[in-house]
Amino acid sequence: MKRLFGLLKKDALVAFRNYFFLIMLIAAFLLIIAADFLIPEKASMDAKVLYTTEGQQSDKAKLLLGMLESEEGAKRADSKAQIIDSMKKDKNTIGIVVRQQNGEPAVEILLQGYENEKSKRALALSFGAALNPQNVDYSSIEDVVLQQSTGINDIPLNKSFVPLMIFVEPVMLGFIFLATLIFMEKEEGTIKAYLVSPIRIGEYLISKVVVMLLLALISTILITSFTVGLQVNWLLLLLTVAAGSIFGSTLAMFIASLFDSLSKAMVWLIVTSLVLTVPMAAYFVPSFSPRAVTIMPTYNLLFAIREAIFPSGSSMIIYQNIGGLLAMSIILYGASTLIYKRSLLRD
Amino acid sequence: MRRLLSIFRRDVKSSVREFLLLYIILAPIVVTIGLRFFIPSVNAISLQFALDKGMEEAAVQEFEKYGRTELLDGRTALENRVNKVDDIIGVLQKEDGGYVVITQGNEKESAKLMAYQILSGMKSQGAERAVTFSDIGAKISSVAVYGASSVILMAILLGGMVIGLNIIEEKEDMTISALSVTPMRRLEFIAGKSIVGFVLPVIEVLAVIWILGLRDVNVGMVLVMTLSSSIIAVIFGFLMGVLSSNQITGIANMKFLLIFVSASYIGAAVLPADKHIFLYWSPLYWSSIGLIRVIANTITWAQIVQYTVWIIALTGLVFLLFKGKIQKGLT
Amino acid sequence: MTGGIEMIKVRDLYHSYNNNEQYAVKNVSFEIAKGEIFGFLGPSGAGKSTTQKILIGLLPLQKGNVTVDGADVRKSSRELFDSIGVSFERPNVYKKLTGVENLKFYSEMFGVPTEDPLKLLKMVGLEDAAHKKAGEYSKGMLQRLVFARSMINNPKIWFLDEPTSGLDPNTTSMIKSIIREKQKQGTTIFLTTHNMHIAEELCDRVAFITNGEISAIDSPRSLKLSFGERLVAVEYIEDGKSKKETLSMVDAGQKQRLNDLITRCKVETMHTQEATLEEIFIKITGKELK
Repeated sequence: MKRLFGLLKKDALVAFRNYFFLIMLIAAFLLIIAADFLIPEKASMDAKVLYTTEGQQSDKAKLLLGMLESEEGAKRADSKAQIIDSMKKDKNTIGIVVRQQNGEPAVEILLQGYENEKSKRALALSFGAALNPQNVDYSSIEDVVLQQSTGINDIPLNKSFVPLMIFVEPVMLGFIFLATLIFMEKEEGTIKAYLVSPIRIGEYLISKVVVMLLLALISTILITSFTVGLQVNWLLLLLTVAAGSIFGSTLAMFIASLFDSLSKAMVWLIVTSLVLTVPMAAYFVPSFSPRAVTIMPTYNLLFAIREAIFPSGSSMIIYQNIGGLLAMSIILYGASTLIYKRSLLRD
Repeated sequence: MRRLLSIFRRDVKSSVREFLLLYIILAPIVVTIGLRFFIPSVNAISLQFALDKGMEEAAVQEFEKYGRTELLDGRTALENRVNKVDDIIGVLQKEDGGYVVITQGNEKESAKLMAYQILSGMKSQGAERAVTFSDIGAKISSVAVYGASSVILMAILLGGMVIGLNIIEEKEDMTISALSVTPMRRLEFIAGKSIVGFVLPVIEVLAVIWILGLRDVNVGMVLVMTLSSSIIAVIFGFLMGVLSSNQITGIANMKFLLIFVSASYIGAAVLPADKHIFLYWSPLYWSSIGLIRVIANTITWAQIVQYTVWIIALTGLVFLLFKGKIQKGLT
Repeated sequence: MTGGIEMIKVRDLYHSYNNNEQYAVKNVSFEIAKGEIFGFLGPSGAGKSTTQKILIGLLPLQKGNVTVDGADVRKSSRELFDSIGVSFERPNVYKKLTGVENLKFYSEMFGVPTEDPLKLLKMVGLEDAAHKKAGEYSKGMLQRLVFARSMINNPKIWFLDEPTSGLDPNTTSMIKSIIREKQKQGTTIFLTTHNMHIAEELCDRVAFITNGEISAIDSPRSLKLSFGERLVAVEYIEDGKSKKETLSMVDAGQKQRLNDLITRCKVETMHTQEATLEEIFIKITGKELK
């Protein structure tokens, strides 16, 4: 225990001297500023809609226009040309032109050009339904909502970024930091000095994981309390982040153990970190869930962090996530210890 | 000029002999190839439906027209699926022919409505015939715009990193002293070392455009934006070189740059237009916004000139601030 | 002074690293003639490297006058380096490039015709390692590579900083013969070293430097004649035992003793002994050469 404490003190000092703490604070500060002041509270992540009319409108069409008017994020434009102009400037915009055709209202939907067939059909179906409300019959459909009042949709946009920030900063930053830390010692050759001391290689590795954990927890507390406030489930949040940080650290450690220099490990570290951040795309587009993405440990982690900050009642994911990550961490830790022991003895 | 090219050739030769530098040079290309596969899958994002196996074949086919479907066995399986974190609407057919739509409660209202409309529309075909489509012919989606522009920015910055690592090599091998007793001038040394920082990004940018098939992009505009952004990377490269005593500290020092880059790029991509003023101080903001708009095809030459002036002025300021350090570090 | 054109002229040179009165080099003056090998001798930290760095422009000239090849180093242009070669003590080559590539790259920096890299590598015995990366070279090989590199532009003035330190005897004699050959071709050579044997063998003149000051400049021969005591080592048999004694030929008492031995005992061998340059250095400066 005394040995581990000594190692910890040294690693914390090394991390401090290498500005890890400073970087973490600056990053946390920037993220807090962004969440509190720069990102708007309300802004639709959905496509913006611009609509216009051509010619006389029937009552049916007026019904549709009324619906569009009440729609948030929809705006009326003067002409089709104006819509096209705005669409060219903002790719996240689609246009709608309502006109009379053979005495019936018709809708022309202007798209950017890369939308897929399925989405187009879905749009056509909605507008068709809006133009012919008499055909719409929902009487035989029973509505079942599994969880009432989840509130996920009520989170202001700027605050909904917070789980993402906690994912990126403490968890992913630790991944890169730990790898640098290990290779610095490999370069200096100090790791060999441990072989002739009573320190076990396992202790040497754990100490680094703990320093990264410390960094992660401090930054999580900072970011969370200055953005969403103190009313979160701290126990679950910190446990989740801890599991994430430990997983990130042990994974970096494992990759580092396979290479003898940072130059060789670098590309794998970068590729792994890029792959691990792909689930961020699913965070804002929840229907983006190919199997390749959902099986990534960071996918559950991301949503578990959200669940801890904005509980929606499905806390199961938190426990599953913690359990899964810790299990993987133990395997990675064991594997790295073994590989280190072997490679150090061989040199 | 001859000396300049010799220095450039030596840097290239030396760089391809080392894993790290080779990786750095290849990384943007590899990421671009990854993007090439990722972009279509994001563009194909549609609604997701979990359907009960017992549903009529016709209904299943109808849902397949509008989104991705999964067939599951029984109500419990459906509910478990719907309860997962992604957005998926469960649909079940009852004994009496009616339907049950199962949602978790946090899905978009429009997605749920879609399920209703599909079910209702099955009975009254043809309403959607009143809807026609046309498009403005944009070939690139926003995913492609942000993907391509961020890879290009990455290629530019990595060019700077190559310069930095080459300077660190000269420092570690102490070769600068050998060069200072030849007729080579310091300016030739600096210029020769800088070439990599301009040539590498240009080649990589052309490769990125080709791999992603961005045929509508104005290549002249991209190259101007790339070259002006490279000025920033080159200065950062020299700074990294003179401030770091070995490779590891060099890479460790990169993290400072990384914060500026991420803040500038994410800011330019995510923040609403009226908040952009908070980023005007960062030359990397101007390259980010410039590259994003060049790829999206929403920029004019006048704006390119304006952005370039910002970049040169701000980078010049950074250079003046660190001029002494750079000069001292190179002797 | 062998006469002829002065290639290097140093007058009242002072240098302080902290820009104060603590001089690393003070009041140094000397001239080197064309085709001369000039040895700059002294222990480490004596000011040898500082002086050389000022001569080759790695350090700015603070006080005094220095002309190299007729040009004032304060105003000299970069082209002056076309006629200068410098062999550094600590090997400074690109470890990721091969021996040939190192020389090739370096040759491209000059504005004058340069030597063939392979020929130079052969001269220093590196032809087999020519296409190996310098990172794989041993310390001695690196030193030979640096030495070869300094000849690439056929320099008129050649600065050699400890060219043989750490080399084995064979290589050392190879380097020495190259230096002599270059001298025959008219190259002026400024040799910095703390190795007195090399200096004694190669140099036309040497300067002793300690604590930043020159205490003597002359040819090794005259230094020995004026400062070295002439000694005689005598081996003789007295009372049936073989004995050995070294006697000065200047001291009156010892001269008498030598006479005694010759007349009284059976002298087996008798050699006159010259003092080494090293002993003279210690005598003049009161310092060891380390």
